[in-house]
Amino acid sequence: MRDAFDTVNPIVAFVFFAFALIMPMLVMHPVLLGISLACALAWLFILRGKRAWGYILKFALPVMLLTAVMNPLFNHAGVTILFYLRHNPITLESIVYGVASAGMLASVVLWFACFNAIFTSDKIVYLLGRFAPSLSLVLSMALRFVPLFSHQAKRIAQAQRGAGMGTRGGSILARARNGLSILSSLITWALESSVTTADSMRSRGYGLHPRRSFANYRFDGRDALVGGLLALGMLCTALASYFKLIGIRFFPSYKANEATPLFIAFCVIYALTLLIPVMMNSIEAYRWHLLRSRI
Amino acid sequence: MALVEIKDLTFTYPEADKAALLNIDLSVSEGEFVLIAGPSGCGKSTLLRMLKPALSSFGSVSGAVLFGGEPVEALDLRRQTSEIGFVMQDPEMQIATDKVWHELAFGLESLGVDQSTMRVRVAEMANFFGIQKWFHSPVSELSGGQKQLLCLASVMVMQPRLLILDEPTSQLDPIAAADFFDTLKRINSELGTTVMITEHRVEGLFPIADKVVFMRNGGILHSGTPESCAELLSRDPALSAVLPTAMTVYYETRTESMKDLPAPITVRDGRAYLKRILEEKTAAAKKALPQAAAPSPARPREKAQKSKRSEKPVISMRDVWFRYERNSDDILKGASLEINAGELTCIIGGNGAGKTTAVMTASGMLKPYRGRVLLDGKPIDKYSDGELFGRRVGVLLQNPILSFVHDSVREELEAVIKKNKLDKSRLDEIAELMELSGILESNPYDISGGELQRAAIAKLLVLEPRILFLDEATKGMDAFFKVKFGALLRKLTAQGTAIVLISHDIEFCAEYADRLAMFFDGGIIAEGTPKEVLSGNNFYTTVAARIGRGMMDGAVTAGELIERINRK
Repeated sequence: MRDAFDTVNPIVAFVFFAFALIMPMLVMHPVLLGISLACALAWLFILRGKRAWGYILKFALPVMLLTAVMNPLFNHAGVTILFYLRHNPITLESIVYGVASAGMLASVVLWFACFNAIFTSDKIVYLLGRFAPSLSLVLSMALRFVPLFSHQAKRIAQAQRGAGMGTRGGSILARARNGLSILSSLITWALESSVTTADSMRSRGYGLHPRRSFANYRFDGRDALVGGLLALGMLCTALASYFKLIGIRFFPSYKANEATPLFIAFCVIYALTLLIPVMMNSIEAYRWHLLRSRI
Repeated sequence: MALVEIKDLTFTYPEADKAALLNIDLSVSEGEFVLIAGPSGCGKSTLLRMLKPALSSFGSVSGAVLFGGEPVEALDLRRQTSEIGFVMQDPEMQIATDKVWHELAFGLESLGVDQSTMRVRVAEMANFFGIQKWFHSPVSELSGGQKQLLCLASVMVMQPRLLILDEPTSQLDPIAAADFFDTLKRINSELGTTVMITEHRVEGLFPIADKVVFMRNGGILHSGTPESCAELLSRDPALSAVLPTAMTVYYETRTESMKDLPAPITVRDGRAYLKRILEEKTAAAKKALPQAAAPSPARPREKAQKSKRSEKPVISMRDVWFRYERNSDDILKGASLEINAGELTCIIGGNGAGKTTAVMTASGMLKPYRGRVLLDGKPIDKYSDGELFGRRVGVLLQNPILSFVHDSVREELEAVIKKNKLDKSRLDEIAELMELSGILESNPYDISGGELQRAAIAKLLVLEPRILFLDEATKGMDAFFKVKFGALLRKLTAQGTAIVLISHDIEFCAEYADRLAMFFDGGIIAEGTPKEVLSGNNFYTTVAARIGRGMMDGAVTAGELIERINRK
């Protein structure tokens, strides 16, 4: 995968994701939710191709169905009672709220799928490094040692088997005991070898103040442009919220803003902001197309 | 002025009755390349650690260690960090972070260097070490050699004046080690960095070193040029095992007229020496009565080999194909191997050639998707795990520490005995056979690498398996212990055990193997006695064979070279 948004400075990218993830949670307006969902989907398909279906079918849809069904069954607030189910009122408002929550959760799940594809450990380490260098180091170390330990556990089990001390096909008790002894040996190994790691870190000055993180990413003109557009979109959202343009109420009765020209204008701005990654990809694809046609 | 000055240094570990370092006097000038050699446990590592207080052990110290004229204890952590670099043995555990770039930047991050300087320094070192290509890689994807180069680079970014290395290549194969030494040589000659290194593998370092310090029992036995050190060591048969092959041959065969010549260190010098001595001997022989050419000594042994091979193999592996996942690349591509009782079969070959996988398949640990493995004529997958491992086949993986799950060697052996309901006396038998009496009560983490290897093999031997598979068992052993280890393997094969040993140590294989199999690209490309396989190779062969090429073909060990020269 080579996504145009992947090379954006992680700080800008992080703000974008924060905006995209938090907005659906704050404002559960059906139209805005729909826009958010559509933008996330569009980008996910660019990022993952056919595999995007996996995210949709495995994560997004089940979450949506579950919330949409569960909410009216357990939430009986609202004034418009449609019917009674075993003496419990099922209200229109709670159905609408259930659908809206479903949309909200689904768009959070999908945005998170995009986040996962873009935010590699390197970027998280970089972001943390800006604010908490030692925390960023701890994360980086954890990322190294977790796979190392699981690999080591496998090797210990293999060594036991090769010495005729394996318990493959043995009783559950024997296997559990074997597992425990492998774990204890793994812990011993980890403690013993961490002495080397500590020595090596100390010999390279760990513990000196102030610690400064190596920046693997730069902030260039494009980052400023993307950041500026993003800031503009966020400013518009703040204004829209301040002037009560995007308010919504579910209980006791459902009330949303009408489709005023201002509201429609905001919807367009919101969509354009969330489409930044998609647009960047399209522009890049078009540039490559131009370059190639010139050759 | 000397960069490092050690004056009458004595160091004793807490609660030890003997000093670990005794009256050490040593001076190292700026830009020098110093090799510190000596058997395991002679105090080399302790000495190196005294030069960097951040890593020094606790204990009572007397005497002084001066760095650039100042007492080394007076250096604060910041100066120690930037001026004295330290690389340790185990590349895996020295690396702290998950990505190559982060590891490279680690030291500069600690020093709090500003962003633009950090960028330049990291870029410089990445270039110097050829790291650009894997700059963004996760550390877990690197080979052992790359990991150790990364450790070195991550120290060099701080531009130290003194670089200390404690057995840096003991975990590497010979090719990676040669690469590593080349880089060290470049650091020393192109950057002028002072280097102090301890190493078992002195063959590659003798040509580079300006000074060799030989330590024994915590004291310095000799300190001087490589030649003067070799001269001294060659007089003591207990120590001469450490010398490079060319030097061994020189000291064992030189005649009176050759005494003033400088001792050859490299293969090139060794060949020049061999040529001269042969010319001299032929001239002398011409003067005396013409002699009939002696028959090649190789033949009788080869015959013996052939008669042995007519027996049925214990394990026969035929046309085996293996890969880990359906869509991954094949690791074994039609590999065939026969393992005979009472023979030491050595498997050599580069990294990633499939040696370990071949052993895992032959031992029944992995199941091939094509081809078959027969144990005593019966497919190996027809045996259950209980029937196979322990009693018939014993497998020792690369890192022997992995074999230990209990707190002492005794408990480890007792667990095997208990599980198989054997008699308790078996423990004493094994302990005697493997010379474990001194370490039975020790924790596996407290004993030396060689002892660990011995204890791990002992654990396998409890059940008297008919075939032992040992993966890289000679890794990290010093020259003196290798001799002992070779004798031990001979003792086991004499009892009828078949041993399969994967090793990068061609010299060791040439000396002790009954049969040698060379692996390349998932299959065996050469197989036979060490002589058959190694005398034909030009590059992938012993140093002795390279020295003798064209002049004494067929001699693959230093011993054979010496014998044939002296017979002339």
